[in-house]
Amino acid sequence: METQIGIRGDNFVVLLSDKIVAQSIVKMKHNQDKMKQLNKNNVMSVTGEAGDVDSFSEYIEANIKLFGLRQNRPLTTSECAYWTRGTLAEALRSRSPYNVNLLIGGFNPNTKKSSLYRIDYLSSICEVPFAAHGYTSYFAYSLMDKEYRKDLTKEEAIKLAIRCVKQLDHRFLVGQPGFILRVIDEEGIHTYDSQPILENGQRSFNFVNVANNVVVSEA
Amino acid sequence: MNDFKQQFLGDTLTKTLFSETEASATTNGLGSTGSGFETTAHKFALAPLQKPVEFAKTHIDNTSETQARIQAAHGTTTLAFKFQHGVIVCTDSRATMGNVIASQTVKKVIEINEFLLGTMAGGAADCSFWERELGRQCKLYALRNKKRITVAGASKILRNMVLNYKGMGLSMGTMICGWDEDTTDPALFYVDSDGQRLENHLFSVGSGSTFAYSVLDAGYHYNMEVEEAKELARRAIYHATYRDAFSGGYVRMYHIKQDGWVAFDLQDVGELDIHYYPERKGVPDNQVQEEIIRPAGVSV
Amino acid sequence: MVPTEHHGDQWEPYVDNGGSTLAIAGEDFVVIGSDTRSSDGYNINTRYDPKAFKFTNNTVLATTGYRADCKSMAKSVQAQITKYAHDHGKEMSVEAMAQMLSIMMYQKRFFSYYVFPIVAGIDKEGKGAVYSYDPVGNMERVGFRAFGSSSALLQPFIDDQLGFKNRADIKPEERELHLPDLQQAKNIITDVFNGAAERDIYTGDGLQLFTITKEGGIELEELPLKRD
Repeated sequence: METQIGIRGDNFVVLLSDKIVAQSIVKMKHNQDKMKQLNKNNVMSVTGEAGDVDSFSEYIEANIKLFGLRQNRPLTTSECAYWTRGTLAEALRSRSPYNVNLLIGGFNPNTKKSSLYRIDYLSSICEVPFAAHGYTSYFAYSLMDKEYRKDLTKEEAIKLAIRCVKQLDHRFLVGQPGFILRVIDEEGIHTYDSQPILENGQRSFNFVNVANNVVVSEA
Repeated sequence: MNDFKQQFLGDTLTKTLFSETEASATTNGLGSTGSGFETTAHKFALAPLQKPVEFAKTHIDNTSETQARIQAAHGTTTLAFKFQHGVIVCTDSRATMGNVIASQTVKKVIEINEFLLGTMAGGAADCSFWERELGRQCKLYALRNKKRITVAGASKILRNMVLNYKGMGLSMGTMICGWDEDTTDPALFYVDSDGQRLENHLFSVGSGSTFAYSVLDAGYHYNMEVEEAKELARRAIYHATYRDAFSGGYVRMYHIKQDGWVAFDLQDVGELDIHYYPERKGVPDNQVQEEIIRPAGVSV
Repeated sequence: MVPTEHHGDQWEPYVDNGGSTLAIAGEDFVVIGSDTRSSDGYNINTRYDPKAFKFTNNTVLATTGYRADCKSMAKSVQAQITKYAHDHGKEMSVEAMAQMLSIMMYQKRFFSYYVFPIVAGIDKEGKGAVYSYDPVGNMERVGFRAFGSSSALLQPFIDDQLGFKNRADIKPEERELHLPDLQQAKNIITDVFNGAAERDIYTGDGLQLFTITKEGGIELEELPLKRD
């Protein structure tokens, strides 16, 4: 029931996730940030089983930070993704596997290129231009297939993400009321919060940059 | 990390870069010497079977959902919320084993120390044992560091302890509430036996939580006065006990202030019913009209 | 891994041997009643198998559930209490013993004893104390408690007669004025066990009645119950 979307441009990545934490039929929290900032160029969004999400992502985050401190260089996106995959794969073959689905997106300051990795709970990994997990994927993939271009600008990518969540809100039984969106580019990580709006009687979302209040809307 | 998990779960993650307990202990600032906290000084007895955990799960019921022989007592509506004057913690007092009311006087608020409270939902023994252990850990922290542990730190210790037993049938849904030293805001965390740990301004846990949430969400705002907050909490628990058969007994209430918590007198929900709805006279609302009461027939 | 011949799916190491216990705390005394029958299904294994164990000059543990678990649990507790007495040069208080039992039971959280214990004694203030537990060690101090096959008969009765629960004729704040004295408490126990023996097939044969007072220590009376 959780929403996770990732869209890669040439020199940026957009990650989006919902903010709801649910326990059986109850929403326990409405403003949970489901992303971890692994270092200044890489973000991981995590969904999955309660408890596993926290413990796995904290473990990954701490170790990637530790690596940065020990080696005095941050891990690249692909290094983050493959080390995370390896850890998840090893746990999968133990008696206590982690049930988590991940998107890892980031920007490589050396190559000036961005990348997005999709990892599922069985540790399969794929470098992709766009991705989604769970029920979201049934609604979002066709839109992204149709609208994705290699030369997408940041604005266009955010607008594509908005179209995806607007469609979810319209068609998916368990629509989410709010989202967090992050753009990772050469300058670092930019965080956006969603703002519901009414558009001809239908709900849509604007995304507001929390640092400077700049609004991105679909129109 | 711990012999127990190594021995029976054969966890492979512990062999990677950094052990999980150490990682969390270090990010907490809980000492980086390697050993961190001894979260598992306990050796639990296990059934002499290939799958002792399956035995525990099939024979001991914490939820009233299975017909296991051993029905552990468990608790039910609890709530806590932050507001401008601290945290209100409020619970019912019923414990059920299967469909029997095991007790109407359970203490579902656990006094971890004079600044920290924990609540009890799920398995009563699981909550009281692990929150007592948490109290010990918090005391050790205070002795080692000459200052109180934060609510965030305490709740994380509890999370890490129960995470070692994930999937083994523990049942615990608790709110760790308190007010940190030298801060202006109270703190409230939810921790459960799945290993979930959340921070928020408002939580309710247990089978009656949906009913409590509805009353609470309707009346909640941060700038409440103490009396308004207490009345909101009381009302929420009362309505949960009215609709949820697993909740009942007495309303127990605590208020956490900056200088520690205070407890209030118990209130019988039967008396609250008369207080809120005097016209009912303690009779269910759809039976207030006069009725001819006949003795139940005995069939032979 | 443990070599074993047990088959996990069918292995059922628990039996309910029936019988009942009842403890009442007074201002300066505790009385504990328990019957002595032990059954398995429709067979009576023995008519004399005491359920209550005297531990110190101040504490009694009464148990129902699975007799084998009751006995091994009681034996472990007794060992700890003896060790405590040697280590500290004094007897364990009922408060300490109550908490210790809770922890010992929780140590078997994943292979639980099938027991419903009651610990009774005189606390440090000289007051009667009754502690009741669930099988995994959840503890609560109570005024009175019935456990076992007759608990559904006994507990509602003493809730009314001793707790005055839902009684319109006695106000909550006046309930303490009506607490029983020692003789009344003993009378209640003998009467309700006679009643339980009449209606419960697993309760009967004999009644052990322990009385604990600060001055008199522990006294045990054995009374007959119906043997049919």
